[in-house]
Amino acid sequence: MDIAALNEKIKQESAFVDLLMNEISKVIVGQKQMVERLIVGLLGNGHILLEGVPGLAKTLAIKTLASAMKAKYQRIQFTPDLLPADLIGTMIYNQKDGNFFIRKGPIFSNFILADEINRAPAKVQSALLEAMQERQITIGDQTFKLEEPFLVLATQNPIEQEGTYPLPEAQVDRFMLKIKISYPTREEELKIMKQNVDGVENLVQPVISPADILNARNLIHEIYVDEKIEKYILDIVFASRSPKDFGLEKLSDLISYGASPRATINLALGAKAMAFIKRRGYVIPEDVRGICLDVLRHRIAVTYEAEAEELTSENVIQEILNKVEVP
Amino acid sequence: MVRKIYFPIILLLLSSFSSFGQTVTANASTDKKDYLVGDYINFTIQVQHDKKENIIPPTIQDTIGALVVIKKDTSFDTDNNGAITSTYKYILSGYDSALVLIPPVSIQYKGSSDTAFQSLSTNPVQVLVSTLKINPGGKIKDVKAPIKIPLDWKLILLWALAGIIILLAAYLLIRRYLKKRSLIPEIQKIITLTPHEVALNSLHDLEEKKLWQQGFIKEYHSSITEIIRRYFEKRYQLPALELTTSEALELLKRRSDAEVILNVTKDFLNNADMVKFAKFIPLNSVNEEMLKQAYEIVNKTVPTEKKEEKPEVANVP
Repeated sequence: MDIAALNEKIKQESAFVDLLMNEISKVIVGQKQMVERLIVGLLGNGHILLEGVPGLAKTLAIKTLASAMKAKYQRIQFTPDLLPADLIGTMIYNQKDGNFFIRKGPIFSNFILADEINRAPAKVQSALLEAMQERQITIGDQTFKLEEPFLVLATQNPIEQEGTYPLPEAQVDRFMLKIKISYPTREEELKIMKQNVDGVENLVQPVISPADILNARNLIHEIYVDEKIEKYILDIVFASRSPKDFGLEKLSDLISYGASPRATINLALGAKAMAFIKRRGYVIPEDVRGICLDVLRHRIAVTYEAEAEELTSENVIQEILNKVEVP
Repeated sequence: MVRKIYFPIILLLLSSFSSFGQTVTANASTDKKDYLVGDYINFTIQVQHDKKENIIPPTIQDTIGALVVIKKDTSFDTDNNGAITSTYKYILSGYDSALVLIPPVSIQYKGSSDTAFQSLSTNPVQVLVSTLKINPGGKIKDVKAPIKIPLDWKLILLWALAGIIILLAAYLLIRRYLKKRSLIPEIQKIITLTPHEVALNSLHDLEEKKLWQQGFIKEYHSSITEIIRRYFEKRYQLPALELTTSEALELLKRRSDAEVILNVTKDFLNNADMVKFAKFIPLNSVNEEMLKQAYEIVNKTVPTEKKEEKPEVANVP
């Protein structure tokens, strides 16, 4: 397809992004980056791991997104006594007719907020992550396809780690993005305070349908990624695996293991989604850099030496971005 | 009855054999009899015995009588047709003036037919240790000069040789360093080109290559933006090669000396991005314009040299 025509098409088809963001901003003050990343996850057909202290509108954000899309939303509070059946559903015996019938769990929704995912034991986490990967659920002898769009937003609390079940690296890798959110600015906080104290409830109107998202996903596949951009993505990922080859000798002892091929896929997908949000039919290096931190931060593990020096995977990614030449 | 008589006779005979077998004698002596306090007293013990006799050397500890054992000197055996003389030499010294008696020294030995060690003692030796006799009426003499150590030529030669080696090594190192330093100005000549000179030369070379005229449009735009990014790196100390277009523009905005090129750089980089990443095929005039813009970016940002203010010279008649 001609890039100019594709560009024009994307410009028209991506108009809903502004509408969606405007609608969400009626309720969510600030946190523009979080909202933008939620849409990236939605468009990239990925799931999101959200890390932030309590009270930063994580739940409200996904609830508002669901409302603005007229999609089904469920919140599941993960606790140590949660069972897989509580999540995916189970078979219940009906005494009246002597048969078993299936009671579907809350996972059968478009948007799932898995609140404090690290509080539930491994078997529940596995059940959720399997559903995220396969996008289907099997109860008894019946398999059910999950309704699209299906987005899981799992939250983790960086404080209070006692009695939690941290997600294994292999499972964390299944999340397309890991977003870290911080406190709002002073001005934003003032706005939040006024908005909540005045007693006026801002109602979110549905501005798009789930079908629009599915349509946008198809369009995203058509977005042009030049080979220079592809090489740039590969350079970033490979620099995390063998930093010496990129003149980053000092990182060799700081990286325990680098980003996986799934990171490469998600970085390319995320960059395409970013280009779509920016209403472009082609990816530019800004798109890659813009999403890079969120795609890679949970996929690069640092060594004990790095931890001793209080260096995180984010520092490592920043060093890589500062060293790898932009095409 | 007869048995009763023979038994004591046999016993008497056996005991007489053992006394006849004892041929060991020991003698102690000193080299002189009169010594001054602190003088070395050469004390010798000689034990004469048969080859068959096993002699245990005398054990003398730190002192013997009122004398101090300075050192155990030598010990040796001399054989004179089977008669052995074992000699043990000691150096003793006395620090008090007195008539000193060196006590007998016990010597243990065992003959071939002996079942146990036997012992004999040396004779006591008397020596006189006296102090210096001072003549109270004599002249007072000066303190003796320190003893001069004789020159050790071998050591001097060794030191001289080491010195020569060190000097030679230092000479070679200095010569090598000077040789290296003489090369540095040549390298400096190459790198003394200013960033704008490097950029203008590279742009000229690119123009000569006629890339876009041959159809290598993408390569042309990649090369021209790389030249300008490299120029920004050196001119403004920005990591421009590792920055995206928007990031580079954002950093340029903060530089007051880059204000004049901000708009043209924005157009230049964005146009190049379109060609590089969006398959955009520009018109020939756009390609030509890119080169003009690149020259403009460099020429407009050539740093102006500050004029040195000459100090006013006073009019001296």
